[in-house]
Amino acid sequence: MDNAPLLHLRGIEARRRRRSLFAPLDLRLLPGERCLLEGPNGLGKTTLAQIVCGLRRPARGSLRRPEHLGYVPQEPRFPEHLKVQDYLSQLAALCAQPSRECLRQAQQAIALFQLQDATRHRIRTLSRGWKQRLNLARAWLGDPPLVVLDEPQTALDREGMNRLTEILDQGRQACLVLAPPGTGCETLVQTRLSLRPATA
Amino acid sequence: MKLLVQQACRDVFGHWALAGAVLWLLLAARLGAEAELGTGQLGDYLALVSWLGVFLLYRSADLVYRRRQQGWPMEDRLRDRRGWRLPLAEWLGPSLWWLALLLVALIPPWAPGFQPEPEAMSSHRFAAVHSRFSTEEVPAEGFPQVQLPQVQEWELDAGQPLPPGGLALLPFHWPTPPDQEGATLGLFQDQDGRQEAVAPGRLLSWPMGEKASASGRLQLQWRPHGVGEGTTAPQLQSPYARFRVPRLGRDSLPWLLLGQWLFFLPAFAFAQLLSRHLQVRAGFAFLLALALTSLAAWRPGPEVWLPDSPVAWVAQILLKLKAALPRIDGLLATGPDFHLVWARFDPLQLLAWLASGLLALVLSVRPWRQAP
Repeated sequence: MDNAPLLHLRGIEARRRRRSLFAPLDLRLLPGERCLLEGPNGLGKTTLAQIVCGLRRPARGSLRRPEHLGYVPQEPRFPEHLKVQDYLSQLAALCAQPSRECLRQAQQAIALFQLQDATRHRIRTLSRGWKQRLNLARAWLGDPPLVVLDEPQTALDREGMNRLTEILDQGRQACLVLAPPGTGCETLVQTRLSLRPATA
Repeated sequence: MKLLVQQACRDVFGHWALAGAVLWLLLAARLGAEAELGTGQLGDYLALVSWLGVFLLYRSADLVYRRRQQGWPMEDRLRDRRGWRLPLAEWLGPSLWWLALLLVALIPPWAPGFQPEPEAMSSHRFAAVHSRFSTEEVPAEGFPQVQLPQVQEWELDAGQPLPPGGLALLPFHWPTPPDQEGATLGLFQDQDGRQEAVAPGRLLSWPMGEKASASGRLQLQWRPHGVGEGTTAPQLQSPYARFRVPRLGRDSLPWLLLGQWLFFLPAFAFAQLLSRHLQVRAGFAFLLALALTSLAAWRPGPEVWLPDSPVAWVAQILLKLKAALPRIDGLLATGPDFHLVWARFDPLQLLAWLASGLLALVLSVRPWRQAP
């Protein structure tokens, strides 16, 4: 087995208003490995997720991550006027795929998260739970080697959580889940870590 | 990329906006054709068409703003390493719509009822810059010097290049006309080398040569000739000097509309760059882009502001900003004197304008873009 980590964080720190959010973090995530980082509200889990995804720079430390990864934000934003399939095709097109391949990837993600009934619906008409499924589907678009899930249980019913667990069990993706303790996300992963608050 | 461009086109212009744009074109054609409703000029039609470009300028800024609200920059950052596809598609959206609307705008002026421009020529004031007397001394073989009679020179300035086929209309006063009717008093010559003997009592109608039209300055010289030798030179009645230039007809509409298309291409890029980088509301980015493009198309008049007044101070700043921008006022040929505006078109300035738009597009690509 290849022991080169897919995600490697070394002494990562994040600051908000000159205050460190959490203690320096070291993390190695191997291909196919699934890890839960737990921490209470306000500790900087979302900030850390954004750092891992390259959406924000860390205050200190370095990281190595795959070029293509999926991200499930805690508070997703969508173009509400678009239809589900059109939106997913558009996202696939951002990776410079031919139109036919974009459509194929969109249909694959739709099937994966059982969004078939909502394919022709505009996003604004979807319930919060269905939007969360769409949020997950767009992260799985293009079959990335790593997915970062920020509180994925939000608005998902039991069936949805079961489906997510199934997908993670069947898939080859490495997965980093960030959630507060006691949210049921521990069923999604193999290892659990705690995010420690920064010492004053 | 095709999917992204298609969606950007759909997001810029919905069905209702498209229907409104077509109705606006029909109204513009009506106003441009009828002297009772508008001024009955093709320039009016062009001015009203250009409002659609301004509307698209707002929509292009609004597109970037709305997409920021919808989380597109984050998804783009996650999926496109270099980050040029989304900005390019967002710029192509309004640009392609603008092209399509201008192609539609070609049609109404060919309708049977559209008959603007009853007069083929338009008349404008020709300002005299200076006039001077001189005497020429020419060395001649066998004689020490021959002193020719006095020569009169005038220089008239239109203040801009003129379209070809123009005519200068110059009224002269002759203090000492000859006794014989129809006798010539002298020869006029311009900088293009055209010569003509002129008899007094008639308005001098002088066809503008190539050099004179290109520079907008007519240099005219008068020498005594024939019976006029030894007489005094004519005097130009400068307040009444005019030039007449041919108006552009419907045949030139494709070029005029192409100019409008090229004018707005960098403008869309500016609006989107401002909306993307400053992270401001669409209306503010639109106003900034509109101010910038208006400044590039602005042609300051000869007004003199009071020194040390706030107005003069603002005017000086605007003039300095204007000097830093390419001079592209000729591209947006609209209004009653659109044929004169079009004559100011300069291909080099156009290239500089397009290059500035390209720079705005390049600056929209990832390394210069802010994190979402």
